[in-house]
This record gives sequence, structure tokens and C-alpha cells, in this order.
Amino acid sequence: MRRILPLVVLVLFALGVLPVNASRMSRAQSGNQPAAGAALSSVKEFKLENGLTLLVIEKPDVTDVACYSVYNVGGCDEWAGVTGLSHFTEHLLFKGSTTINAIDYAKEIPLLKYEDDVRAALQLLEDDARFLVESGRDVPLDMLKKIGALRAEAVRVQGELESLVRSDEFDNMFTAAGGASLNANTWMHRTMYMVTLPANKLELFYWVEADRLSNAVFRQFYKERDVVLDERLRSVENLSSGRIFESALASISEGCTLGSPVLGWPSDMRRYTRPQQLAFWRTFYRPDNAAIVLVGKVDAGEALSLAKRYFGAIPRPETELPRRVKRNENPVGRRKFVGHHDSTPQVALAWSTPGAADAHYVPLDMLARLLNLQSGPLHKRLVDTSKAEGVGVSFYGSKESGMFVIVAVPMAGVSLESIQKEMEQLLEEVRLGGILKEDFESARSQIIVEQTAILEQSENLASLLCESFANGDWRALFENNVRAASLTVDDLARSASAALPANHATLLLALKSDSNVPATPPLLEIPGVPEAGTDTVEIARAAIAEAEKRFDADHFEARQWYDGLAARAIYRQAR
Amino acid sequence: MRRTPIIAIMTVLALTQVLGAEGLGIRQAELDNGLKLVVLPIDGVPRVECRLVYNVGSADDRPGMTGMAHFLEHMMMNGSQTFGSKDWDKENRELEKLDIIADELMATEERIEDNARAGKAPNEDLLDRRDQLKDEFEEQEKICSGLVDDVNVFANAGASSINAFTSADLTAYQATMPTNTLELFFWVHADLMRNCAFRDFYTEREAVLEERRRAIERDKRRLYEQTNALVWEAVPYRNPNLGWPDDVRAIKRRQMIEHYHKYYVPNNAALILTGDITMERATDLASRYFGAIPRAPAPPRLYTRNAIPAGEKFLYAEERDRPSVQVLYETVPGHHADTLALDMLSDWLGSASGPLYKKLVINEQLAVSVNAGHGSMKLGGMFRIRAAVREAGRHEQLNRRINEIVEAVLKGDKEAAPKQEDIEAFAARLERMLTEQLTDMKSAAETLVYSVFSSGVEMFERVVTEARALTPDTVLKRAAVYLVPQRRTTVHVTPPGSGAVPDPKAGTIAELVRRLSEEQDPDRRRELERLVAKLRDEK
Repeated sequence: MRRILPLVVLVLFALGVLPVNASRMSRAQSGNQPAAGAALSSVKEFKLENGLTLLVIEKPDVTDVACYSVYNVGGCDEWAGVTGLSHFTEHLLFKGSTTINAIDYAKEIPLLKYEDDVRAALQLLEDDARFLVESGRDVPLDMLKKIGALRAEAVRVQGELESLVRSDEFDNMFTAAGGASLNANTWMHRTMYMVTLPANKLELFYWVEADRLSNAVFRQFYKERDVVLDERLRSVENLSSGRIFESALASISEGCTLGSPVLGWPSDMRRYTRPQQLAFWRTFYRPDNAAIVLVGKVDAGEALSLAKRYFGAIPRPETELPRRVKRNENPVGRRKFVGHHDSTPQVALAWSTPGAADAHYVPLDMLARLLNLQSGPLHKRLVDTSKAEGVGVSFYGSKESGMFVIVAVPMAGVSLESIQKEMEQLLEEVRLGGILKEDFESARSQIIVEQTAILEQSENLASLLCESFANGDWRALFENNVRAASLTVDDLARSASAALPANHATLLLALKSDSNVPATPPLLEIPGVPEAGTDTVEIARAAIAEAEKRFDADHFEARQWYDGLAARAIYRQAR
Repeated sequence: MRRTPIIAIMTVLALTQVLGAEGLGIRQAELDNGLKLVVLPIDGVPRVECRLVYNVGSADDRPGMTGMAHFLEHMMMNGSQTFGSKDWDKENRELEKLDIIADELMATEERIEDNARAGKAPNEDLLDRRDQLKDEFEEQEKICSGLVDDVNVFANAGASSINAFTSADLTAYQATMPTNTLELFFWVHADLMRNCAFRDFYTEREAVLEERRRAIERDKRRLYEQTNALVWEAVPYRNPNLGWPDDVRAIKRRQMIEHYHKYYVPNNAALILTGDITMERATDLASRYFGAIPRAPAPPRLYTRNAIPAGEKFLYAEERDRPSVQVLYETVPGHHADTLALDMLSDWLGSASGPLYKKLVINEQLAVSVNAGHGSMKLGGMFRIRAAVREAGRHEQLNRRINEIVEAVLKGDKEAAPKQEDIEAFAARLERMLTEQLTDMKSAAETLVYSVFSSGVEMFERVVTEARALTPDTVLKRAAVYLVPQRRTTVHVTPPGSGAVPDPKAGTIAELVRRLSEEQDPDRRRELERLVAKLRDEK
């Protein structure tokens, strides 16, 4: 079974903010959705002492169990230097542990440490050289020789490490067990892992997941770094619309970090180091920041005893989880972003809004659905009148903050300004309570019908439970339904006035242009000078010894971590 | 990290010789523990300008903890474990007790706020607990302040200009010391590098929050913050320097101490001394006071740059400020070779003989004044043109003209482009300015503070020669890379109520009436009639 490459989350965003394909727009992108197929009472919730949440829905009439795990970490948790690391961590967690994908871990440890040293020294020297080149100065030959030697050494040690990896063990293991849909994805505020297994193979999932939480080994790190850079190249830089989406997103958000691209900024992605990754993983991958969600043929009691067996011994760290920005300050003016791409022009109004933990969330979610109705006011006003080819609204976000975006693709010959004006007026009508009762009712009934279908399927149910957990409370999956049922037009109007005020909107315009936005230039390449006839390893080792005093805290902590892992692995073997 | 044995005699690693041919007299050294030393002897009064610069600023703040660097700067002014306490062991214990109460108080307040946000009814138990904690907190704070001694350690040493500031890139502490009490500066800051007490944390927090409130009222800080957030997509200069109030309130004392241990280490700091000082005396004092502080693992270094810009950004703000148009271009970091060309062009563009002034102020009477400038920091730079609008409502026109003039200049338009003599004048002015700056001990210290971790102080040795080597052609070619629409952010400041922020109500009634006239369905007609009536009521 091949694992599908993680879906680049940007595609969702692209659909949401500036959709390319009008027919795909009417699907709301929001996370919390009211449920009808399953009831709140069918969810059994357990919490281990270390803070791990376990959610189980027993469905005796099926044969498989959908096994999901979710961690509260994503693009909005990242800071300058580590942007994209949540997504990269997701990639690397399929590279195994001290057991999975390992051939001889004891042999691997010193090599991993050495590879980190080589890479750290190389990065420092390349930075120094780049500084000199950018300042218009020459790079000393000696420095170039060291860079050359370290590069050769990096290639050599990577090859040596490669021979100690048993690839695809992860996939093979699940395939052999009859698993399906092995996958993972990363979003702004959460990372999710999933696999569907035959009921009698549940323990395999537990073992793998616990292993991922405590014994992960970030193999093939620097190879994989090129893979994500390439992913970015394909999905962002080489698309004329790619960078505008990012720029637009960054323009909307000020304080909240939803504007940070999930894939990461290229200047950070090129500089990831394994020790940095390890520190990031240890910060966020902890039992009190995660939930295990099981839906299907599973016994809750057994699920709990397995959870205790596999996760019980993983300690809750004493450090606290990093805090997220809770709220944006009001803008003092109106923002506008104008980008160019080689597709049809688009116009959008966007707001940075409160998130799922806010009372305005459910009304705004409902409003987004209402505006997405084919029979709704937005379509009537813009599509039915042949002013726009397509329209759409997306509303998404984290527990703390969200984004509400209304977008339209005008028909040829219709000005962006006139569409913008129509959207502004429509929004003002909404704020004043000008929603037709019939539109309101059909939005509500559509939700119910949609949800009944969605919640019947185990995978969907598990995935939505994960989303709700990440949004602060899994119960919201069911409770928001009740809340939505009691909403009135005035509730929507009040929330629109509070969260989507006219003067806080950011106007986004994508204009058609034949000249492509140039891609981010590669980092200035520093040519290393390989020294023929001398001992590369000697030069590299001397360069490492010299650079070591400039290594950072992550580097030294990683060394200790490897030692700890080795000790644990030996202990397990001895038992 | 293992503590390395103290080496009494410091090895001077780099650049202790006088630099360059002209020799500005700036000398540099580095202690074994990584502390940088920059010394510029200037003859004159028996005083030394002292600066201790840490290579950490608001750009290093983490999301959710913005304002950390600046808040920490405040805490450094409240004394150490060595000075400022009547009994440190006791004070420390009491401070820790205070932290426990404060943490619970904060968590309780946060839960109350979260409930309110979620639209839940207030929880009486939580409110009671909060009040109880508030009382406990006040009691404990009294106990703590009773243990504080005088922190003003510079008081009787004839020191002046004791101050500190935090920028996006760095945090700097300063004092002007009489030569004979110079040693005190070393003693105090070597002590603070290890033993900062973090006292009066919670009262200081209020001062920090108040500072931002004042900055918003007085300096239109929100405008500045928002502009930065637009320009710096990836670079953390988008962080508000003073922090989001929510974040500042949530910073825990323990987290700040962690931050301090990570960044306030000798290998992340530079001592800058100008005036009545020699390199020998400086190295002697530095190694005596700072030499014993061990090197720590290097703090995280920032290398984030903006990705290639993909679009133009605008901010239409209504503020009680002089109406203006600002055109900003995102450029290059301070060490970059292209900064000089951009400096030259902005200098010339903004001058009275430049085309902006001649055309916009004199000929076309669109602007009252116009200026231009280019400034770079560690991770990026900004080219800025600002014009004060003469007449309300002519922002767009003025904006268009600024862009046209800049475009014409970049095209090398014979009339508009800078000439060789402009470059010579720039180089001469630069040399004069540099000489003036580096002969006045205060401005010399300031100048060195900003360059030590950005372009490097060696830059001063090259800059005049490099400026002389510029030609109009190279200046325009280099500048043309950066002065493009995709890198541009335009800010219009208009008076409140001027319509920059649209009032959509204006067109709504007319539109509804139009739709009403076309609508056949009786239900929909009723809805529309209701709306029109409601809107008219509100007007």
C-alpha cells in the first residue's frame, strides 16, 4: 500500500480564497459541522493521566476501524526560522523510529550525530560566505575549501546512513495487516494521521502511534528537505497564482499567525536542521496535545486498556505548550492587495475573524454556508445576473482565530470594482438582517442533510472528531448543530456586524497578466572547492571542531536525545 | 555546556589592528567567550560612552509572546540579585510565591475571558476565585517590594544618559561614564548578564502596556504596526515591537527568565566604547569583568527573508495626522552591497534639487513637502518616499505622480536621472557625515550599535570609497531591481471621515429600492420593504 503524498494544504486555501474552479466553490471549507448521523452520546471519551485524549465510537455492524490521531500543531504555531516545520515533521514521521525502518540503530546513532555536525558546520560556513558575497566581498579560498570538504562529507555520510534504512517498512507493515487509507495531513492549526485497519489489528495502530510519540528517528532528513522544497516549487512558486495566495493571506492577518504558509517560507525551508526539527517535535508532540480517535468495530473498554498499555508510560512534559495569539487588534485602515496571475481576474473581501472558541463562530459558519447556496443571495446577485462566473465563501481557522473570505470571478467585461461593490452591499444587508427567511431555512436544512450523509462514514466521522478536538472541544461537532438549529437571522446579522465590519475588510484583487511573477530565487549558491589529493575527511573534521563553539542549543540537546534513545533501545532489547 | 576554565589573558582574535587605509580608528576584538568588543578612542572630555548590545530584538519574539524582548529590557533596569535586594534569598523565595499566585490569577482571568468570548454565562466560582487571588497577589506584592533596595546603582558615579532601547534587531543598554568610574559600567552589566533579578515584574508589565497605549495615541503606532505587517510577509519585523497587549499580559516571569538565559550570553553580545578609552584598557576591563562568564550554546539565529514579492499592497488609513502619501519598497538587508546605491538614490530623490521636490512641491503644487530615505536592518530594508498632501482629496493624484517620477528616473530619463556630480556630492556628504559621526562620541556609539550585528563595523572603512565608485548607471540598475510594483506598499493617511474607509450604507438603500421595483414574488417584496424601512430608520 502506497501512502499518498500529503496533500498540500495550500490547495484548500487556494480554493477558499481565490478559487480557480468555480464549480468547486460552493463547498464550504469550514471545520466544525453539525452532526446528525452520530450522536454526542455515542462518543466515549477517556483521558489518560498524561493528558492524552481518547475518543471512541463503537459501530458493531462494520468490520474495520478508522484509526486517527491528531496533534494541535500547524502553520499557526510556527515562528520565523521554523515555518513549515509542522508539515515537514508530518513527512518525517513516516521515516520510522528506533524500531521501524531501522536495521541497526546502534550503528546509526553515531552517524546521525556526525551528520548533524557536518551539516551544522556547513550551514555556518555557507552563511558566512553568503554574507561576504552579498556584501560584495570575496570569499577566502580557505573557506571555500572547507565548504567543499564538508559537502563531500555530507554526501558520504548520507550514503552511509542510507544503507542502514529499511525503507517502506511503515507502509508494508500496515499493508500486511490489511490496512487502507494510510495518510496524514497538516493544516494551519493541526496535524492528522490516519489509517483504517481490520478490527483485530487495532493494536498495531497503538504500537505505531506510541512509537511515533516517543522514539521517532528523523531519517533521510536532508533528502526529504529537498522533497518539500520541491513540493513548494511545484505547488507555489511555479504557479502564477501560488505566491499571490500567500501574499494575500499574509496581508489579511496581522497579529494572528494564520497568514503563515503551511508549507513554510522558502528561506526557512532551506535551513531546516535535524536538531531544530527534533526540538520542534518535542515541543508539540506530547500526550497532552494529542487525541486518538477510533471509529468502527472497536470495543471502548479494550481501546482504553490498550491506550493505557501503549501510551500510559509516556510522560507529560513539565514545560507548558507555547501559547497562541488569541486576537487581532482592530485595523486602523482598509487594506488592499493587488496581485497578477495568468488566470481569470478575481476579487475577494476577507476578514480576520475570531476562531472556533468564540460565540460568533457558529453564526459565521452558517452565514458562509448560506452564502454558498446555489439558491442563496450571493449566487442570485452575482451568478444568476451573469455578472460573475462563480462565487464562493470560505470560513476556516483555528480555535483562536479564523478567516472569512468572499470571492468572485467576474464574467468577461464586468469590472472588479462593480463586483466588489455588490459584495459590499450584500454584506451590509446581511449586517442589517436582510437575509430572506427561505434562504436561511434552506441553508439550515441543507446542513442537516449533508451531515447525515457525512457522519455515516467512519473515516469522515473520525476526521471531523479530530477537527473538532483541534478546534478546542470535540463536543462542538454535535453541540454546534443544536446551536445552529436555534439561530435566527438576527444572530447572523449581529455576528456579521461584529466580526465582518465593512471597514476591517481586506480587498484582494487578482488581475490577469501575461508576465509571470518571478519565482523566489535560490539562495546564493556558494561554490565549494574540493581539494584534490588531500584528505577531505580531515579538512571537514577540522572545520567542525572550529565551528562547534557556534553550534546552537538545539544541536547539543539533540546529541543528548540520541544517547537517551540508544539507552532506551538497549534496555528494551535486554528485556 | 561545560564551563570553560577562565583564561586570564584574553586572546584578541580579530581586527585589533587599525582598519583600512584611511583608518577611522575603530578597533574590534573578541573575548574567548565570544563577547565582541568595539572601541573607538575620541579625544576630548574625560568621558566614555558605553553601550552593551545584545543581538536579540522583537524580531526574535515568538508568536503568542510578542513584546518579550522589550519587556525584558525593562526588567534589566530593575536590578540584579547582587544589587537592589535587602536579602536576595528571601526576596527570591517571595518572588516565586508571587509568581505562583500570578500564574493562577492569569489562568483564572483567561478562563473568565474565554467563557465570555464563547458566549457562556459568567461562572461565579471563577469570579470569586479571581477576587481572592487578586487580594493574595496584592498582599504578596507588598511583601516583595518590602525587600527591594535601591536599584539605582549608577547614582553617585557621575553617570548620565542611563537608558536602554529595543529594536526589531537588538537590545541596547547605555550610559555615559566619567573615565574614573568607567569600571562601574562593566561591573553592573557583567552582573546583570548573569544575575538579573526580574523584580517588579508585574508592575513593570503595566508600564509596558501603558507604553504601547501612549505610543498608539501619540505616535499613531497602529499605523506603523499595520504597515510593517503588510511589508514584512515572512520577516518577523511584522511583530509589533512593544508586543500585542494580550501576549504581554500572558508572558510569565519564568518564560522571560528562559528567554534571558537563551539570549543574554556573552557570545550574543557586543560592548561598544567610544571617547576617553583605549583598546588596552577596554580589553583589560572586559576580560576582568566579563571574561569569567562562560560561552553558551549559540542562540537561534534568524535568516528568514521575504519570499519574492507577488503583489502590491495598500493601506488607506484615517488618522488625526497630517494627510500624506507614503510609498515603500522592500529592499535588502544592511550588509548587502546594493544598499549604497539605494542610499544614494533616496538621498538624491529626497533632496531639494531632486525631481520629487521640484515637480511635486514647486511646479505642480501637489505636496507641501516630500522626503525620501533608505534604511536597512539585519533581515531586510525599506526604501521610503513620503509626501505631505497639500489639498484634501488629491492623494490618488499625488500617488500617481510619485510613481511616475520614480519610474522616469529609473528609466534613465536624461532630465530626471541623477548625474555623476550628484553621486560625488553624495559621497562627499557621506564622508562628512561619517567623519562628524565618528568624531562625536555619542553619535559614534550610536552608529556602532546599529551596525555591529548588521552590516558589521568594517563597513565604515569601505563605504566612502564604494560610494565614489558608483555611477548613475549602476545606481539606477541596482535600484531598478527593488523599486518595482510587486515590492511596493502604499499608505494613504487621510483625516477621519474622509471616505478612505468606505461606508457601504450609502449605496444600499438605492440598490434595495431598485431591486424592489423588479421583484415579483410577494414574500421577497415584503422582506425587501422591511429592509428598506429598517435602513431608512437607521439613517
